[in-house]
Amino acid sequence: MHGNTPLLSIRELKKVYKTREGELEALGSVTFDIYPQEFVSIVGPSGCGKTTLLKIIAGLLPKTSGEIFVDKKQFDPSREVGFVFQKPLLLPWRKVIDNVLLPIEILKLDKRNYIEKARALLELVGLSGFENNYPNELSGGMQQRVSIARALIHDPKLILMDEPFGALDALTRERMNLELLRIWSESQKTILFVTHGIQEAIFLSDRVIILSARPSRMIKALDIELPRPRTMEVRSSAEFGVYSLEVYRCLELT
Amino acid sequence: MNHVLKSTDSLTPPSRLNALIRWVTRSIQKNLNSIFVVLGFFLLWEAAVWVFRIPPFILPAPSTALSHLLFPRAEANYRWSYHISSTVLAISLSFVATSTVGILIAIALAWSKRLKEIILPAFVFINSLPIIAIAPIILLWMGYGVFTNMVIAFLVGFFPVVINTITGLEAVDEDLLDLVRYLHASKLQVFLKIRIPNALPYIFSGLKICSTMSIVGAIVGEFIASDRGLGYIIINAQYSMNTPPIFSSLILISLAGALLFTLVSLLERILMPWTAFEAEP
Amino acid sequence: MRKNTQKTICTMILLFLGFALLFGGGAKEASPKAPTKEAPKALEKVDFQLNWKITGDHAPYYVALEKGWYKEEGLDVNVILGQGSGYTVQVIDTKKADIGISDAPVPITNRAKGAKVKIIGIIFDKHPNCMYFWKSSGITKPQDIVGKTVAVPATDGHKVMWPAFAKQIGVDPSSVKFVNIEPAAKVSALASKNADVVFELYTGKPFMEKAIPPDQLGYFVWSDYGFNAYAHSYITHDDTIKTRPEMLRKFLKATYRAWDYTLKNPAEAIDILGKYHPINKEDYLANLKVVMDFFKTDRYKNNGIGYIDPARMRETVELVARYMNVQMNFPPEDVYDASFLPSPPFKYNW
Repeated sequence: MHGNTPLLSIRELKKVYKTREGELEALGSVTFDIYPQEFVSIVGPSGCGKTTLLKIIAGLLPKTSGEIFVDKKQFDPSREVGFVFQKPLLLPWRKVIDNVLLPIEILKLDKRNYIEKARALLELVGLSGFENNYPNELSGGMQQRVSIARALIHDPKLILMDEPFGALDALTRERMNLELLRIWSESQKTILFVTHGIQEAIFLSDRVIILSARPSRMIKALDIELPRPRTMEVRSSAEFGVYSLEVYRCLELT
Repeated sequence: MNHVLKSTDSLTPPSRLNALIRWVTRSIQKNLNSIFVVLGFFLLWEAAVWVFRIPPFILPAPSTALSHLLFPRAEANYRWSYHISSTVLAISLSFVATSTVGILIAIALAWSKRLKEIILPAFVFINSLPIIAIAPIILLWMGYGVFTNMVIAFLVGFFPVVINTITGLEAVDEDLLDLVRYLHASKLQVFLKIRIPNALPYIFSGLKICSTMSIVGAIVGEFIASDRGLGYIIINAQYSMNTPPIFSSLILISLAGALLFTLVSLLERILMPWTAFEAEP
Repeated sequence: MRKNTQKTICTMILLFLGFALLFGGGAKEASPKAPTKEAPKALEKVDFQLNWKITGDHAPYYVALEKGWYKEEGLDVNVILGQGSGYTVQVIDTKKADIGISDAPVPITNRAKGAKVKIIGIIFDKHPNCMYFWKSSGITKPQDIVGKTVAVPATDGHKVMWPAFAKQIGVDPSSVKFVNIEPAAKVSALASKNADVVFELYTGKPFMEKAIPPDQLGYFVWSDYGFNAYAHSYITHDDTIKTRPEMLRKFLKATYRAWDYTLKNPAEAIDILGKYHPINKEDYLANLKVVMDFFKTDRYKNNGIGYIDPARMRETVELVARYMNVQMNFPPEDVYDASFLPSPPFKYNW
């Protein structure tokens, strides 16, 4: 899987906020690659700059120094990134299908060509039949599914997910993890997933990147070689426990 | 897998029309009590006038006011339909003009921070002017007529519309802006797709205030400068101490106020169907 | 569905506008003024500014409109309701209207201050200024007003001429306390005893008597105490006199003809007025009959309604100059122009 060229390369990426008290280093020097169709998670303590990292990749924040490129080229996040935020961020005045189609409108693409795709994506996330409902008629988990469909609509190569299931209850969250793995394998996308749930990261990922507290450095990139497709049983396996211990140890070191 | 999900998250998509009808019937039920209160108030008033033999030029009975409204009178031809229609016209035009111009001004101010910094304080200044004091000057400049009444109503009612709309346009979740910003949304797109729909509830609360203000403005306009309308009937009747038509006019003006408010609420329900489900148990 | 929403918005807006137009159209249809407003181009447009909201003495203008006498003269007269004599002078001086009604001293004082307005005809031959009070307040002669609270609108002619009348009856003009009220609130200000005295024309007596029992209502007509000034008059702008003398002549002819008719047929005149304005006809007829007293003079009997007596006009100007501290920088003849009065005159044989 690592044999081909990286989809996204990040080299010595740094972010320094200028505040009234002086400079605040939010992101130390971060370097890693993401390969096509890989599922990579980033874990780390609160305030280690995980969200900052995602926002820099999406072009929402300027970087202070370092490089981000795809195939040695500069990278256009608007076409190549789908973003799933902590909150579902659905527009309450739009029906579910129109929420999914929002990126198409923003990118000024022809909406007619995407309506079928939007229906297919809603089916993929398990929401067929809810196209014409308003967001506030849906539960929190369902809303986050809509936002995943929305992130996929313009066919980006890379999906950035910023603790998307953080606000859900434990049961729904586990179900959503399984769902996400299915969506990932069916859609064949590359996912960069930020979480502070260590179990969640190991369960989902091919690789877990562990960041230290601020100023964050990369402590380790841990390859997870658990068999796929993964089911809930994997969590009780011995290897899963070993990986968890490894991540905990890395985080305690900081 | 989908089936499992649906059995837990199940929900039947309800019909929008049914929801609207349900809202209307519920509103009527809710207001039934207040209708009874108003009716009771009128009955008490009627009884008081008869019992205490209050002369009509001090306080006419509601029945006297109604008979002036409903039956032709030998001593006066009030031409109610003519005056009602000119007042309704003045109110409707004032309301439509004030809300349209107010919303457009608010959008312009929310669009340009500089413009807002310059103009908003001027609006605060204008809004603080007592309308009774400037109305005669406006009258001297423009003469009387529906347009003058509209200007007076605008000066009375535009501020709440502008302030509410600006608040709504600016009260957007920063994350929601990130959502479209990473897609390189233009400023126009952000306004059309996020800010303006987001402002709708705020706009409607502004419009509800404006609906009452338009009535105040139009009637004040008719008081000061008009030869027609319910405000004119009031002022004319005041001069000759002819009190019953004053009360007939007041009843009609209150009715117009309630009607316009109801229309705005109905429009709000129709334009914002997604809010229909929040109130559901 | 977003399209549907847009459709709904459009429909609502259209409905609303349609509704407004429907009523607007209805309003126009119902207006008896509509025919005069859409008069053929041959008619000359005249904006006529009243001194006040509708009172009984405004009936003649509607008589002339109803009977087509203005049209006969080739005029399309638009009657505009007023806000007091001071306002009329402002309106005429700024040419917002062509002819107006004002209490004579007001244009005279304003002319001294530079306003280009002139009197072209008289309406009331006696001055109708009057003060009302409760008999129980202890006022038995005009001089008892000293120290009392007087309610009067700011632009009212009474207020402007008070200093002249005060000096004439020998009291200090500043010895009363003025309260500013809405014109329409004169009666209620006295009825509620919020003021001791209300300045209101003698013609308002029937309305006063509705709220205050006639046996308790006291009043003094100023002209009974030596206030001999000219009163309600037609005024116009100097430029109009120069550029549209024929119009003025025609207007006064039709107007005095209507006055002549009104004085002979007051009930019918009020019926006509009632077609145009929401008035209580009984009240307004009583009002008009009081007004008619101001026309029963030898001057109007001998010289016709509207006649301007040069001697009395000089007296009025002198009165204004003396008692209101106005520098008259022009001869008294400058304040009026009697050349537009109808000939032959409408003599009133009362």
